[in-house]
Order: sequence, then structure tokens, then C-alpha cells
Amino acid sequence: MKKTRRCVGFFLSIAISFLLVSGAYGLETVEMWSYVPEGNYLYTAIDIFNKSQNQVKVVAKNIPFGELKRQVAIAVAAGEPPDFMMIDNPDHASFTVMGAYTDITDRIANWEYSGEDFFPGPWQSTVWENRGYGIPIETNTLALFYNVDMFKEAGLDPNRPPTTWEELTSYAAKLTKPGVYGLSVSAIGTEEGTFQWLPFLWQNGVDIEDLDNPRAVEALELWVNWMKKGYVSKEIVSMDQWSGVRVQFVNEGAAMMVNGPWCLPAMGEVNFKVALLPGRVEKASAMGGVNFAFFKGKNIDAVWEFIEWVYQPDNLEELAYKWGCLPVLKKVAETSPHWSDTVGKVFIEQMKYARPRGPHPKWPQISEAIYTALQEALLGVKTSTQALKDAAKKIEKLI
Amino acid sequence: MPAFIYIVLVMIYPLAFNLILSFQEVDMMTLMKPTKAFIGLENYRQVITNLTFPISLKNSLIFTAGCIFFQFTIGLAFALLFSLSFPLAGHLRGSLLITLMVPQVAVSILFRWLLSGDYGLINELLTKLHFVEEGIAWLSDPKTALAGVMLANIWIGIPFNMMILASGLTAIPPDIYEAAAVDGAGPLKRFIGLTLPLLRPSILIVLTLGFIYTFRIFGLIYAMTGGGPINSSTVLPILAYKLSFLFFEFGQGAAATNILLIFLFIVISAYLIFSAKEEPRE
Repeated sequence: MKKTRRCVGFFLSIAISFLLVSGAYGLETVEMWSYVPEGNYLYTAIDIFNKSQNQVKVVAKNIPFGELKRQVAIAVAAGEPPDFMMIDNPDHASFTVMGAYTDITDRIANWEYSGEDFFPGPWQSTVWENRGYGIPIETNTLALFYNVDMFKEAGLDPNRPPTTWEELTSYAAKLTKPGVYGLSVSAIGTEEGTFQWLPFLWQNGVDIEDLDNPRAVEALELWVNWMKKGYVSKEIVSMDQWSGVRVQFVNEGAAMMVNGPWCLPAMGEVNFKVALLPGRVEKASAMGGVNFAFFKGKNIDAVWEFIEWVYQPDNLEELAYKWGCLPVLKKVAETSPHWSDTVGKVFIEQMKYARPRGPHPKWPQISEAIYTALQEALLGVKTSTQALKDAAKKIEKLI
Repeated sequence: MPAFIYIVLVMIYPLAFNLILSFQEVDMMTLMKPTKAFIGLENYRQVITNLTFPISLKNSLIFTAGCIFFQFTIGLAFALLFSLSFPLAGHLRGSLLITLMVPQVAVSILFRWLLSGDYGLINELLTKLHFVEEGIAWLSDPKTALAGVMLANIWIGIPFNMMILASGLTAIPPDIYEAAAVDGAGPLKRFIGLTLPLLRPSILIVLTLGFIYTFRIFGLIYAMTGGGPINSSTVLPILAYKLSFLFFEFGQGAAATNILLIFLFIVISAYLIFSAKEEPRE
């Protein structure tokens, strides 16, 4: 008896030391780049993962949003990319076509999830020519935020937000007063401007291939009219969504705004509610978010350990909630306690109407044509019809 | 020898690399290919026929000329002012240099707030003084955006101009002025006849350096307006950046920076010729 116990002890100690040694020698470090700012819960999650096992260590590097694509392009050209990255989903196809990302179709086939388990828009943004080149990790969409107190002051029912374009415009008119704009949207000359206007184009039943269609002109005239009447600030052409539109709304300089769930952790003291974007011919919103993408020739086996961990329902739910975005797995989003309140439900519902931009490797050029037309019409440099005709010509060449 | 290696590594290599890149087809599709096709002047043709190119070039020239004019005249005025000895002159001159130490991004944020159409301090002043009825959306209006970014850059450039011109002024011996005054030359005549010619070397260097700094400006404008609205404040370096890193047309981006370099090269050559003329006088 005593002998067996000693024997067990002996083997146990060998086993433990073997584990320790293999752990120390087997630790593989992988690098990830993203534009997620320092202090985001993402880094806490990575820390938790790193401490949960001793095989793989993820080192995350944060690069400012405007710099990330530049740095990645340089790293790819120099043959020294990180192991994986987080890429804004409309840019995913560009880097796929560049040949920077690894094809993970077969790996996904042996994974516990398939494309069906994800929201379709985010998933579609990772696919190019029927092959998979990434996995969505964060997704978001635009909805209408409105100031409850200002609604009451203007004699509007805060439980009845606008549901049509006509209502949206008439509400904006009623809510506009000295120092307060009825509405705020971003028409900045970047991807964000395109992102904000596309829902209105889609709501009128047309897409970016038909910009010279009168329905597209209607969607643009809607915005132009807001500006002419002074329902939106003249500054929307240089306001981004986070430090422009959100800040204006939070400081009660605008009574309604079109914005995304990333604002939710930073809404200050405003008494607000969220509603679906008003529809017209159909309901629509734009889908945003970021995807994981894996660089060719790097240590994807080690990265996959992290992927397996991060998509466990509990981990994903917590990450999405603390990040201020929707969980990308449908099942997790629907059962998440954090998205079951009124605001959360609106975003989950809005997600059903959210459409991706692209995927198209020339999306940055397409987007430039769109936000340029938006700005030209708003600033009165061209008529809406002319601006869209010119944009249609540019896009025709690109597609 | 070490200096030679340094120059080759730090200056010649990137310039040569950029030059080669500008003759190759390097875009999203070909970036990772081991060999890239040489396409002659195609990238240059693409850049020059790009609809944004004429606007960018025009903006670059207006921006540079405007900034240098105001930086130089205001800088010279300050230099002359502080060359008079009055109480606290040294302290005041020192405090002007603070603007040189503020990072460009901070300056851009500061001026974005100052120039804001809805809440900006400058509009507040203009409306209070009844110059305008309602606030001007400086950076959101294609007619004023370039002026807005120029204002910020002039503010940054004044102390630099002042400093170099002031050091030039101190090198002028004061007894020349006394002699001229005895001969009956008034202040304006002394300024045109003595100060300006004697300041010539400082003026040449301040204008040349000013041109180099201003013509290749990127960060300040990019942070203030991103080149917008509708390219109204896009200058050549912003066009080059957008071509390379927004549209992944690396070859065209390289071509655009080389076009920029041609201008810098001309100005630097002109400086060398002018300053060579100075030397025999010594």
C-alpha cells in the first residue's frame, strides 16, 4: 500500500514537472494588431485568456484607426505582418485580394460553428469568391437615438418615435430651436459619411449600382432639405460619429441622432431612447464591425487556441457587452441578458435589416464616390441629381 | 566615410526606392508579388489626370504662398518689435516660442474648436462685433476650409520666422543705423536701405525653410479637415497619402510624392544659387 502510494507520487511528480517544462517551452507568442483603443475590455479579455493556459500568449498591439491600414500594408509589403489582426469589415476584401490573408475555409469546416451561426451580414464580409478569409468578432448597426425630455417639450410622444421619412423630417422641424438642431447625422468625407447615408438609399429600394435612379436622388434630397431648413448643423460635413454627432447629442445640441451601439457606454446624463431607423420602401440600416483575419505563413495553429476560447458563448457575450457592440453569434445575441433591455432589443431588431458594404476590393474608391456626392449636394456645389450622376459614373468604372 | 554611409542609407535609399516604385505597377493586387512590372510613366499620367490633382496642386501653391507671406511679415514685425529694448521684451519673445513646442495634433484640435461654426470662439467674436450675422462654418465650407487650415499653420510658423529673423537683426551692428541717422535717413529709409539688405541671408534661409515645411505639410491638415470638405483643403501630400493608403495605389502615391519633390528641388536649387551669390562679398 505504502509502496503504491510512493509509486503514484513518483509518477505524479514526473508528470507535473513534464507539464511545467512543456508549458514553459511550449509557450507560443502570437501578435495581433487592431485599432481598438487602450482601456477597452478586449485587452482584459486577452489577459484572461493568456492566464487561463500556458500554451499560447496573445500580444495585442493597438494602432490608431487612421494608421492601421497603412501600417498593415507596409508590413505586408515588407513580409513582416503580425499573426492576425482585426480589420474593419468593408476593408476585409481589399486585403484578401491583396493576398495578405490565409484561406481558413477548411479550418472553419472542422469548427464547432459555421457561417449559419453568425449574423449573415458580418459573415458575408469575410467571404471572397466562396472562400472564407476571416471570422467576425464585433458587429454594430445604426439606429435612431432621441432625447426624451426634448420630445416632451416639443409636445411629441416619446413612446412614438418617427417611423417614416416624412415623420422624421417633421419631428426634426418641431425639435429644432435656437441652439438645438432637430437631428444630427454624419456626412463627413470618410467611410463614416457613406455608412450613415447608405441606410437612406437602401430604405428607398435602390442600391449603389443605381445611383442615377430618381429614388437615389430622393434619398439625397432628404438630407439636403434638412440642411437647407437648418434641421441639421452645417458642420455635419466635418462631424464624425463619435466626437462629432455623439458629442452634439450628449451636450443636447441635437434632439435626435443616427448612431451606433458603440455610443451606449458614453451617453453622459442624457435621457434618451433608441428606435429603429425610419423606413420608406423598405427597412434598412448599415452594418459595421470588425473581423479577425489571419496572415499567410504565420502561426495560425496557435492563434486558433485563442479563437476557440473567445467564441465560447460566455466569453463572447461578455466581450461584446463591455465593448459596446452586438455579439456576432445569433444564439448568443438572442439570449444575452445585456441586450434584452429596450435599447438592446432595438439594436438586435435593427440588426435584422442591417446590410454589409461590399464586399468589394475597391470599396474604398466606391465609398469615396458616395461621400463626395453627399458632400457636393449638401454644400450646394452640385445638384443632387448631378452629384449622383457623377458618382454613378465613377462607380460604374470600379465595379 | 560614416557620413557617406549615413547619407546613402537615410536619404539616397528611400529616394531611390520611391523613384523605382513610381515606375512600377504596385497596387493592391500586385503588392505581394515578388516581381513588379515596370510601366514607365503610367503612374505619373494617372496622377496628373486624376481629377483631384489640379485642385491639390492649386491648394498646395495657395497654401504655401499664403502661409509664407503672413508668417514672414508677421514674424518680421515681431522680430523688429522685440529688437527694441523695452521692459519684458525677452520674456514676451520667449513666450511666443511656446507655440513651437505644441504638437501639431494639439494645434489642430485647438483650431478646430476655435473655428467651429456652432460653438467656435472666433465666430463668437465675429458675431458679437457684428462682422457676420451668424457663425461661419469655417472648416465645413469649401470656400473657407483652406483659409482655416492656413490660419492654424500661420500661427505655428510665426515664432520660427521671428526667431531666425531676430538672430539676423542682432548681427547688424547698431552704429550703421546711427551713421545713417546722422546722414538724415528716416526710419522707413533705414529699414528699406539698411535692414532689409543686411537681413538678406536670414530672409533667404527663412523663406527656403518655410517653403519646405509648408509645401510638404500633412499632419495638421489631415487632422483638421482630412483634406475636405470635397477636397477643398487637399494638398499634394494628402493626395499622395490617399492614393497609397486609402486606395492602395502605391505606385501612384510614389509618383505623387516625386512630383512634390520636384518643387522642393527647384526651390532648394534656387536657394543654393542665391546664397552662392552672397559669398564673394565676404
